Amino acid sequence: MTASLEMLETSAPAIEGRSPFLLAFRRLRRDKVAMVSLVVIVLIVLMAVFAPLFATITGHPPNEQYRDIGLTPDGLPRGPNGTFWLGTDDLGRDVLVRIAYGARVSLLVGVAATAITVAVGIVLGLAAGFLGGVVDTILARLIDVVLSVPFLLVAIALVSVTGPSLSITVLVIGFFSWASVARIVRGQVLSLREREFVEAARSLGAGDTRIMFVDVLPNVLAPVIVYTTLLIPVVIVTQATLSFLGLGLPPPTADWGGMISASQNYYTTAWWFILFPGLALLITTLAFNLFGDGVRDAFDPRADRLR
Amino acid sequence: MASSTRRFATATIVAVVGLTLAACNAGNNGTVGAAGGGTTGNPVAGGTLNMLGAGDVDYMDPNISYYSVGYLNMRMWSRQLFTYPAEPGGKNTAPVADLATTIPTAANGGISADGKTYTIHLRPGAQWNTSPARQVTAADMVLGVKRTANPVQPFGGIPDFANLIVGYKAFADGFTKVAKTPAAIADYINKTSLPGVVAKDQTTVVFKLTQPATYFVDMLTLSAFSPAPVEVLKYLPASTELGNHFPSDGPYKVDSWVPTKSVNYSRNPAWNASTDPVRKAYVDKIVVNETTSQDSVQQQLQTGTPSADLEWDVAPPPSQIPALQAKKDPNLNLGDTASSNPYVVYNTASPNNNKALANPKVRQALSFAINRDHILQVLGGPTLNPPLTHVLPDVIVGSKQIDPYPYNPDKAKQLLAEAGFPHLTLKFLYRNATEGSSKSFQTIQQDLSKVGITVVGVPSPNADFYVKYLQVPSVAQRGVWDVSLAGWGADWYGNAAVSFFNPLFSGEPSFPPVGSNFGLYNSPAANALIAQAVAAPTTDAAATLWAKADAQVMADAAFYPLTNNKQANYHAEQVNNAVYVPSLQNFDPTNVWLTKDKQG
Amino acid sequence: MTEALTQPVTQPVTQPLLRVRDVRKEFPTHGREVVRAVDGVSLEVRKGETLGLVGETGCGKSTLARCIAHLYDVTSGSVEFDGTELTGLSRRAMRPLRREIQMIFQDPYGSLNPRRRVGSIIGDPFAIHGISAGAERKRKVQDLMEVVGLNPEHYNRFPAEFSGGQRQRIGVARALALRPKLVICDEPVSALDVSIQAQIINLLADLQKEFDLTYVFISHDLSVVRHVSDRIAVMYLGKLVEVAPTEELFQQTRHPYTRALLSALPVADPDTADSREQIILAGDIPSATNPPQGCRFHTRCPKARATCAAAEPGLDPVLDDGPAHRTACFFPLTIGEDLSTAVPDLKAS
Repeated sequence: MTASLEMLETSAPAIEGRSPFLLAFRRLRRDKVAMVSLVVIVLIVLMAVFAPLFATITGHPPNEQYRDIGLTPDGLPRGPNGTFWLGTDDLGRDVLVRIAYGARVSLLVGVAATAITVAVGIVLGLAAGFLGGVVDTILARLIDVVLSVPFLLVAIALVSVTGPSLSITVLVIGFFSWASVARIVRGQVLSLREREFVEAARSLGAGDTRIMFVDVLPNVLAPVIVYTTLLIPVVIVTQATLSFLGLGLPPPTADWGGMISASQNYYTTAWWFILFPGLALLITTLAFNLFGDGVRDAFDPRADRLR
Repeated sequence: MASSTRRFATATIVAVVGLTLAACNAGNNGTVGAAGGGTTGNPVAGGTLNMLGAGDVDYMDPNISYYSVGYLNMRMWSRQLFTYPAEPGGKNTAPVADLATTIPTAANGGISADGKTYTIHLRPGAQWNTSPARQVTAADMVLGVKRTANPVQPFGGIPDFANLIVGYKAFADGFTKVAKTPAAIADYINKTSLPGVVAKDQTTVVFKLTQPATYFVDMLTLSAFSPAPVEVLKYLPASTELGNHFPSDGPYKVDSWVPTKSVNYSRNPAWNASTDPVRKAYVDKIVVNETTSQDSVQQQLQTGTPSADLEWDVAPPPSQIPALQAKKDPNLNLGDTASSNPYVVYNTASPNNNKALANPKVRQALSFAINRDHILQVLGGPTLNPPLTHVLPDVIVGSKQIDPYPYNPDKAKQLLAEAGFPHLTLKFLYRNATEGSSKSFQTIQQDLSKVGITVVGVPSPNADFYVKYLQVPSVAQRGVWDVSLAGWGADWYGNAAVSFFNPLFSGEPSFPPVGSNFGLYNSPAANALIAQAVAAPTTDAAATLWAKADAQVMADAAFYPLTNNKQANYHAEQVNNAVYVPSLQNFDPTNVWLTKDKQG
Repeated sequence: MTEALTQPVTQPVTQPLLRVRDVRKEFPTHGREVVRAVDGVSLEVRKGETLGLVGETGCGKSTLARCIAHLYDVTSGSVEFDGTELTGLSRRAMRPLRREIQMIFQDPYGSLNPRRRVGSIIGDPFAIHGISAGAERKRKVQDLMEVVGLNPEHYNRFPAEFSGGQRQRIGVARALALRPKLVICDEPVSALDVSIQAQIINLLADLQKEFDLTYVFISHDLSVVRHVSDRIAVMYLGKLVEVAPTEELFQQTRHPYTRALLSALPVADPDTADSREQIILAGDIPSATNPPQGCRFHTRCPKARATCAAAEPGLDPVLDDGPAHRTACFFPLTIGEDLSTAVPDLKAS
């Protein structure tokens, strides 16, 4: 038998396979910007998780209004000082503590809405691309319709009807974002379903569902992961935008968009009130975007040659 | 009647605008503007007064206009029997004779012994700029009053006097059935008499009232009671054509009015300064640009360019007022208003918490538990939002300083315990997109939590707040909200208590949507006092009775007043004698003069 | 052309495992036309034998393979496997038969899911048919890997970590997992280096013996087919033009197209090298949407005559050939006939 000869072709000692994801991860680990961004993201996540710690250390609960020490007699916020490290807001609350609590909202909405978006987008994109025919026609038109809806206007109208809440924010964002994911997935699947390994699975007797999720899905994950990483900051900004427009979380819940919205009347008199929540939002979205860029580069097929 | 709804709705919306402006203000009092406006030096006539704004008048029709920016516009070219003066340093809330020769009193025979007939003489020489120019007559006065009830766009404040002027209600009801054409309207006006407003001779007009009303002269300052010449009957009321052709009896005339864009005024040659004790009319032209923005206006006014002199419909941005105050800018003025804005309203009809809010004790407890100072602080401090502890603001006749609910959480807890409601959960309806509303809600939420009351927010879009919540009694009765915020401004100044109590606290007739008694407060004691005060024979007697009604409403804790907020205005450096007039919510443009080299 | 096929052929001892009768497969195009990829093909494959299927790219041989494997629904005709009619079977009814018919694909890169581990790929047939799981499945997979000459320890690797030849071994292992009766090899070596080709072909030959497999071996390369096949069917433009036992096809080539294919082979036997003629076919293969009338090959055939354009020849024994050797040609070649000097003459005489 000639097989033994051929075994020598691969002399790599590693028995554990190097998955494309592993390879991408290795490339990602060498990307300094992405790694710094990741550290920042981790810090923000830690800040959100340990937000109560900020309240404990400063001694300022997030919703406590300090009218004597936190506000001027004319109701203006107080600047950064020994008591309020990042100053106070328009109700005399600690900006630092509220930024920490606001991170919870931003990340929760960012992750939850993105998860809904990606889940719905993948399922519908897979179904449209793989099943084709009437299913595809209907779903593709639906995708077009959803993508052409002026998101912010409808979101504003919808939230006006239902009233603002965390779940409605997540649902609204999810509902309007899945179409992009579905479109990406559909495009990928359209070419993937013609690949021989799909035919091979079929010849083995695999059904549509199995082929879709076992054979096709892993192959669309890379672009979806890239898109997802880049979607999270968009969702965070969208949530902040809705909050800014008064459609976010009901007060007194701290969230960055709401803080920025409240601070806009004070930009000449209380720079810290707009600066720090704005910076928090900026740094978070920047970190996610740079990290997303890194992920995209890591999954870029052109980078395959570097392996 | 549709028009009655409009009155309260409109007045309330005026108040809403006031809230946003008030939110971040602080300041001195109305007299500062006069000093800062520079009365020093001799007035110089001439030049063009440039007014900048972001919006238009409500109506370019004196008998319909109901907003302060409309009154500002009317100041130039439409005179009333009585108006508010622009005295430097004065409060300018007491009416003076304008087209009338004098203020009618019992002593001078202007008011009949029973207080129900007002005989008013028009100033000879006051003319329309018709061709040829013509005396303003008593018949014009009658026509003006009749036009307020026109079917195209009836005046929003009709309920103030519908039942007061003899025969007005019937006249107005008949008018609503008339076709909306100039011919049909003219026909109805010519053929239908209004017994309560009669032209006795060419310059004597007689008003007949159904009951004495000490505030009647004050009410006649409303732009709605402007005379109108027969020429206007050619046009549809409130139309753009009419706005461009309404003859003027003031110092200026409208040269052109492009709705939402611009208004241009120039001197009215038919006007004779000797017939007008109020308007000095120093400037030759007034040009209004309605297409700028609040921020831009403020910037231009501060740079001192000759092309920017006064605000039109905008006020300084709230965010900039603290800075202006800090440097004691003499061009900033914080003027009096006749507003109670915002105030906390209790839903006395709420079924929630076992109808706890129907119990005055519970409402009193809430009033003790809310810390007014805290709310005023977050709304911009007490200079801009001086505390108001009872119904009537200072500038209203009958206002008497009482403070029945000083902050006292212990008293609040005690009252709640006595009433048997130690742990309430209240729904607080507020406009989450309105800064002041949202801040007040959060502050009250924290205050009430300290006496064991849980406050749950019911956020509402701005557009729905009145239309879908407060103005629908069934919403209050269902208990959709327990506590909310509203605001109110009197329709006129001085003797205007009726303009507070009738729409807000007079029992069933004041329930929404006709009135603005959003909490459905109904107290027989208060109702009786209000009825007495309305019909009081003298102003002094009325003042006493209004003060009693005020105390009664406060004792019942129908609502919780917060502030009689100030109105901020700013003018350019070169504007002299800038006198704030509360009814205009602005400086009086007909009395300012421009520094010589800045008359552009 | 179907008449001869119902008769028993050469070795009547073995029943045909696969019987294909007049199968047609049409694909709709964007216009109203259809591509007739397979246009009436009939053939039989006996148990244990290897049928080679050759033809140029685009002749329909891969389509025919997919029709047999029931990856395509045939437009008309019948595919009978081991006595069961496959056409019209529902997906559910087809499932048990999937185990019997397996395919090895041409592209060892495309036919293996790049995102899945080798163990999982080879274990797929077990998973799909719910045959075994867990450690047992892993053992079976590793056995299979050993059988096809792969290191079982590479169970967890990804396809990208293997060479082309190794990948094709993975494909073979997957095809063999369920112990099929019929394996359709769709150009299994054409994407591989020549040196690797032999290894795979030898592997397939070994496995055939070991597991008593029947192959349909598709290739455009006659030399490869010659090496593995018992019989060879030559396909041109959706139709079979010549079917014969392997050596007979090479020795007694009847169809001019077959001869042309043979002449393109690299020199394998120095003795015959100088006697070999070089036949260059004129023009390109015609479009399958609009195939030529009459004999489909007549547009390119050096021996074409007017008859060829007018009528379609049946697939029958010609000259003195036995029943196992059938040719669809009006003017079959005789042994030693020199085709290089032939000139087509399509004028009606």
